[in-house]
Amino acid sequence: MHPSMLTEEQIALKDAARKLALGEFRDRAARWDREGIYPEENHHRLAALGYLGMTIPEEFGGGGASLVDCYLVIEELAKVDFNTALIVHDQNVSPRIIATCGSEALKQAFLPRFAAGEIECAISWTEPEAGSDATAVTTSLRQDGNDYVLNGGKIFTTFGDRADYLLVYARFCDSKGARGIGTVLVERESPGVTVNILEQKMGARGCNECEIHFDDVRVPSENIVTEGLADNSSGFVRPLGVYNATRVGMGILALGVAEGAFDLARDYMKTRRQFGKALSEMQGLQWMMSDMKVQIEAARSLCYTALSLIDRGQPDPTLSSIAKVQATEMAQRVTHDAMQMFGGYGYFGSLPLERMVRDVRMLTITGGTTQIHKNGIARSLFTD
Amino acid sequence: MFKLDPELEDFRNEARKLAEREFAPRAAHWDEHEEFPAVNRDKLAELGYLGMFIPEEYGGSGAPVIQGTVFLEEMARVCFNTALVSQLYLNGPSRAISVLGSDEQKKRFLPDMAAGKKFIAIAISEPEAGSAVTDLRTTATKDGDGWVLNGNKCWSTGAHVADYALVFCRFGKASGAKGIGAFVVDLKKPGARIGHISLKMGGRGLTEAEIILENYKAGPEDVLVEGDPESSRSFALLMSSFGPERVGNAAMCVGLAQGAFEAAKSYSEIRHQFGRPIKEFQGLQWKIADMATQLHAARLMVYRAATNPAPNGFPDPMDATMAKLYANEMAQRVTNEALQIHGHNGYTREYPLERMVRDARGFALGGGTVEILRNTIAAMVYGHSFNQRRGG
Repeated sequence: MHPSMLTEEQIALKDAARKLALGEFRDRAARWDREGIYPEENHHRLAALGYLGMTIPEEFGGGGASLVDCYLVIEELAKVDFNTALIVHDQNVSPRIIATCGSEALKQAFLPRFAAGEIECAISWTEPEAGSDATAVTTSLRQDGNDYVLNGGKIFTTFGDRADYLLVYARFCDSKGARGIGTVLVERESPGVTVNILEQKMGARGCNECEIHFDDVRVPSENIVTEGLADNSSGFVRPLGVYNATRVGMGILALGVAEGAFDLARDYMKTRRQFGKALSEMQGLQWMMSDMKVQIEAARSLCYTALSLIDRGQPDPTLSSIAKVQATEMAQRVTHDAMQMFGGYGYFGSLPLERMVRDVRMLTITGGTTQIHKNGIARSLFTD
Repeated sequence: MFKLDPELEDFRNEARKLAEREFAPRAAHWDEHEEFPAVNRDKLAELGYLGMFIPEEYGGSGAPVIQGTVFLEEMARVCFNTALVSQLYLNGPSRAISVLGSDEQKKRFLPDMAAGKKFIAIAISEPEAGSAVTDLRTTATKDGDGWVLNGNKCWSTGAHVADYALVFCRFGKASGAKGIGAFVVDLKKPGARIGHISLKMGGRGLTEAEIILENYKAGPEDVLVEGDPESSRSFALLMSSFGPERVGNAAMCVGLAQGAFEAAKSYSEIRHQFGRPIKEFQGLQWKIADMATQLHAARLMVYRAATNPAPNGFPDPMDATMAKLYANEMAQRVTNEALQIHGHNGYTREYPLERMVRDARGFALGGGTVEILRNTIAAMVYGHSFNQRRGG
């Protein structure tokens, strides 16, 4: 969002997040990456300050913030610490699905606890054979007396090792495609749930990805968020309507990291001298910086326009895909080019640049690969 | 060159078999543990690969540049860190000593290099002299019949595991390229020590270290090329002896990208989504086609640079510089696309793709950034160099 378009409240929100990020999170950001550990201290700070439940409606104890407001915060955090920004992002997704799609009883039972930071939730959707082909879910949920029984396996569930609840996409009956898929809240400590932390990855190393197996896990019927129905896809589509905002969310995370890297490069170029002058005086490098700035501002406009439309109740899923593709691809180029400005220094772990490159690499894959979003964009072009 | 000699193809097959058998299984290990692949170095030395550019009379086999190119390609295809070590043995200081050294120096260093018993690092960059290499300040001051060296070198690849370093120094008070020469410094002797060892994004089996020289006493026998404060000739000689290093760097890019490309091709054949192998999708086919084309172009540029020497016997500077520039950027694109084709699997350490992307990223920074290569190419295109110190 262009600074002059922000309200005073939004400016204050952004400033507070920036102060928190610079004052507390920046100096420890390298640690989560190097040691591959969860930013526990940051989590507690964020929970205490109300950031983890900021989009939960006020009637359930949350902050009642708009998506634009929430992402203004996430963008500031991502400028210095991707792992911590991802926590705020993810913790604000599942409760919104429950708030939008769940029964009144479910909202009463869970939302105040999410808002207070007492419990956490992870979305468990992707399966080994259902990646880009996201409706190929085979994890099954079947009624058994008053309860349901869950069987199957998930992969790449982010935060699956620590979340108290998993929001699981499951198939409620013998069906194909989106029909019959619904969502259910599963307590991670239920008998029959096993969680394996997957081998480390390139970036986002403070946030574990997990493989999860469900072996005859009993789930109370009141934990169903959306029921999978044999004759229509509403159990899948309704949560997707909320989840689709995470496309833009990935774009905002990308934007934040790109801006963080860009700012570091700009500052460095003013002080680093080679050939008797500052790097900022070299035309080839000036043009690289101009190109980066153009791409960053394009991403900002796309992402916040898409988010504003969602806040207004007029979501445009295609625009959300466009924003995700542009911003996440932009961040790959911009973090690389920012790193390039540092020459040999950029490749080393004593500066955050190489970490930023590794962190944003995830974003063209997670939340729907660039290629899958291009399928969707193309569909919108050729479907009357 | 459109086709390699059959003997070279046989050589390639041997090198490939060796790499797949011996080096592939532990390729992830050196990265994960940031460990120097000493056993691989020993194996390669034992089989005679590390001395291939060293003249026969000093224990090597005096092979042509193209053979080393094929060799580095095959190493990098499987284990980048092993390729990086090989590159330093083949195209690093031993090449400069072979070309510029005295008989005594050749006898002292080359047989041990060929046998893999000694390792010589290269020390050129300084904290304030990166791309602007001729700003280097490490000084060589005359002291009796020898010299005293003082200064700090950074990003010396493998310095912390090396026995010696080839150190670029300034003789006298000249500035710019004038007065630059080089010594072979014994890192175990007083006055030389290793400073900060860097953690880096890729190439983690052979990381970079700082070398600190404090009143290091060098004998007359340690001067490889004496700098002349009146002339830049010594610097030019040293730099041209590193011409093959650019070709080797580009060859590693081709090999690394080839490894990633093959992984992506295989994965696209076995991974099913939407009820069919993902290779059936046109968008993916086009990605693979683009990758194959770029890889092919880079390989041809590298082979040309390796087989088309300038009159001084070193690779033609235009060919070598363009090959490095194109191959550096090609390797980034191809490894990155190969990761993308693997979806989230590519982002995890269960597959080699994320490592390959990290390894490839260093090429555009080391051995001359791609921006500096562009300066060099532009100078050759216009027939004169541009003063990068002028304003604007």
